Amino acid sequence: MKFHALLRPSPRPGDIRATLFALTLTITFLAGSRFLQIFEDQRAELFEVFLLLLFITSFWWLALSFWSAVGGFLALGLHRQWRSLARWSSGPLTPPERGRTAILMPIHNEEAAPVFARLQAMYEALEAAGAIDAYEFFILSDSTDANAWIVEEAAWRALCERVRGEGRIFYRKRRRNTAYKSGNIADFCRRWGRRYDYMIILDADSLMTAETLITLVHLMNDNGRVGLIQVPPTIVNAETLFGRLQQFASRLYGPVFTAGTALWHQGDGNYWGHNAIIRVAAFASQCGLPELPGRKPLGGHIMSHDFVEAALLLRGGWQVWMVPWLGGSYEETPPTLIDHAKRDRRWCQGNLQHMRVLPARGLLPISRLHLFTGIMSYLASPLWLTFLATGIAFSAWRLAHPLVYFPPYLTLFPMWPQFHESVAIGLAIIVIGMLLLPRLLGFIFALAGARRRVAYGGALRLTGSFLLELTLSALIAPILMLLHSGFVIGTLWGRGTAWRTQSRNGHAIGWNEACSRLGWQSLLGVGLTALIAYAEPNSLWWIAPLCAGLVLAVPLVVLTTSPRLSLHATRIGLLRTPEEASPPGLLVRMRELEPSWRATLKMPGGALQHLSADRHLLALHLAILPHHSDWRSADASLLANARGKLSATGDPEALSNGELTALLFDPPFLEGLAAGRGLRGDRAFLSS
Amino acid sequence: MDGLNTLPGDRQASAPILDLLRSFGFEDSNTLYSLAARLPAADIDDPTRAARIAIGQWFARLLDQAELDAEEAFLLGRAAFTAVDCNRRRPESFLAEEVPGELVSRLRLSLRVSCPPDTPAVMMVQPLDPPAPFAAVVAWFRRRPRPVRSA
Repeated sequence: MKFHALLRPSPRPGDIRATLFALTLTITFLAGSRFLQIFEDQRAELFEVFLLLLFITSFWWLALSFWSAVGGFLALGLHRQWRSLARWSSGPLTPPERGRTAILMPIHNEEAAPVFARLQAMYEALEAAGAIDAYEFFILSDSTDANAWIVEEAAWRALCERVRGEGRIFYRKRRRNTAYKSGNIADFCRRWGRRYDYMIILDADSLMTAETLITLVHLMNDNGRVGLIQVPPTIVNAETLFGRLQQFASRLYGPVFTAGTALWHQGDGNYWGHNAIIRVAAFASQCGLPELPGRKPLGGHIMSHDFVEAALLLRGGWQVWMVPWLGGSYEETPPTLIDHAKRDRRWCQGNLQHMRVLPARGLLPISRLHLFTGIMSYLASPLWLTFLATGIAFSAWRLAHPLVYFPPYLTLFPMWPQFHESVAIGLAIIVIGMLLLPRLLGFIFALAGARRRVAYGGALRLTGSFLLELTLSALIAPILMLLHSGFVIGTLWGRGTAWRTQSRNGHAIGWNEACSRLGWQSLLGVGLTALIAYAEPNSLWWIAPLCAGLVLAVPLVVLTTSPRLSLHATRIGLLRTPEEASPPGLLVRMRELEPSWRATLKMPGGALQHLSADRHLLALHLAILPHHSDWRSADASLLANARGKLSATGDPEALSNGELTALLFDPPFLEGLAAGRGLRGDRAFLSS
Repeated sequence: MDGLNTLPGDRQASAPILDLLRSFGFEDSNTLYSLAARLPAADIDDPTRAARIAIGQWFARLLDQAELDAEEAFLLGRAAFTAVDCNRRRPESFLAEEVPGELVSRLRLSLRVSCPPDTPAVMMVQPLDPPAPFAAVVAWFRRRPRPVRSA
């Protein structure tokens, strides 16, 4: 079996990009000039200029995304992998003969059972493919929750036992999670970088098939200038209506967008932070991230490290590819709108930090475009919001300033200010069309192929699901627009966010919680609707989609997490995806394993109680403690407090998480615990 | 218990040594004192450290892990020892010269190494500074007026 760097002669990357940008600029210019016609003779130049600037800034980004999707649709339709890293030739997939690879699973206070079920499923798949010798697994823990840490150690022990993976599955915890996930990976590179040729980065919810893991190593082996290959993940395992909505949208529209992106990015692609293989030597030599100057939230450690790392690899002369055709790459999505927004809050801050990276010396123009696109994905919300608000303000100003048909100077003709409503409607249709057409292309692509159509549950279900997704996402869009605007303003104002664990389990959100989180949006929606209905009833239909989303914010959050609705939608096959209809073997195995992992890791009581009850786990904890990063850096005051509290109360429940962590890093205390001391008020020992 | 009869002279073990043995899961006082007698004499400066080294060396030999230092072998060996429940099943084999082959195999299978040996790579922090003219503009914007002191 042989892999080739290039598949077939094709247009040069420069030509594809030139075409894309020419189309983007042309349509932006045309839209901008049409926009000016709306206000012809309105004598409101300042408003016009301001609105035009807002419109163009928001529109070009939309246009770029639109043309990229059109390119993706054409590439998919023509079955082209122009200048992509090649598919393998026919024949069975053989294990890689060279290229030692570490599979890295960075975790941070995750629920251990599903994480270790995924790891076991991937390990077994590689073993079944006869390729396990080429791979080693690392669980890189940044967990700050002491109880989660001990559960992870127990899970690592159990995983080694289950798959007989000792010496091939490793576990390392950092005492301090400096620089978050990028710091976690950097710590791995600094400690074991020379041991591996490649590393495959996963997220806690990532899953990759053995075929994909093996093919990635082959592709790296055969393409020596490639520093990183990203496999776009497909969303799976969603349970709530909201999660399934995201899953369906990503599955239906994702191929068009990723094919388009891969088409014009080619070897100057981007990195999404996980489900990617990286050449360790290239990464270690180029991707040591500095702290950004200035205060948090825009300064400090880089939260959204992936785009920056891709930019640095490209700056160092390495290629970064996206290979959407490969498949076998999965992830999960937040189950509720609230969880989705929480994740967006973190991503927003990370992407806005890129404003400080944007002018960095030596970056390729396309890297700056990637960074700018990331910034715009959040900045677009306040821009559109300002645009809408300015439009409403303009209407209000018009109401307050009646038109003057006969000016105070001498003139032969009265002044007839015009508002070209037809132009405005045409432009609105263009904007909506550019938002909807890429989705329509994804729908058409799925509908056109018989096998694809069946995989989505048939034409009727696919159409119904498409329409439901369009309706619900249109209602959710204004809610997210307001939330994102708040995030952007908050971040620019200096309000940062902490690195929190992403919620991955479905749960219903009640009316009270929804009201407390998004009630203000519903009230705003009602107020705005009433205001416009009173002042400008004719404009109501313009603003109706926005108002409807806001008014319905609370019920939308509640209903999209309702277990009954979710179950009903699943039963009738609405929002069905190919992976839901016919789950890949790896996914099935992971689901089979999860309950047994839950049973294995069920630990009544906290970390200390568990360690004192499980002598082997405690001995193991002591044995692996010196292998954790920075394990000797003591928290003397926390340790003293912890010992004092235990001495006084004998109750581990009285300890704070920091105090408990300090104890779990303290060998003298742990040795005492192993000898049967340390809990229930052994004062002499605790005060020693 | 076979091979673990306690003699009055053995009851010289210090509390830290007994604690160390308890960490292997030994609880019965006869067993504890008998095993303590197999460790280096109690009159040395740091009996616990000497005991850890002796046990570590024993584990290193038993588990065929000569490259490990004594402390590391002690920690890994203790974890393996407790994993196979040796304290209850075969207490007499602890620190014994002759250990049954089947037990050695089980101990070796129970060894858990959490990380491979360090093979460090250099990962230098990369600059993300803007070009000089741009940096000057940024610096100009960042410059804050000094507070004016009142007379």
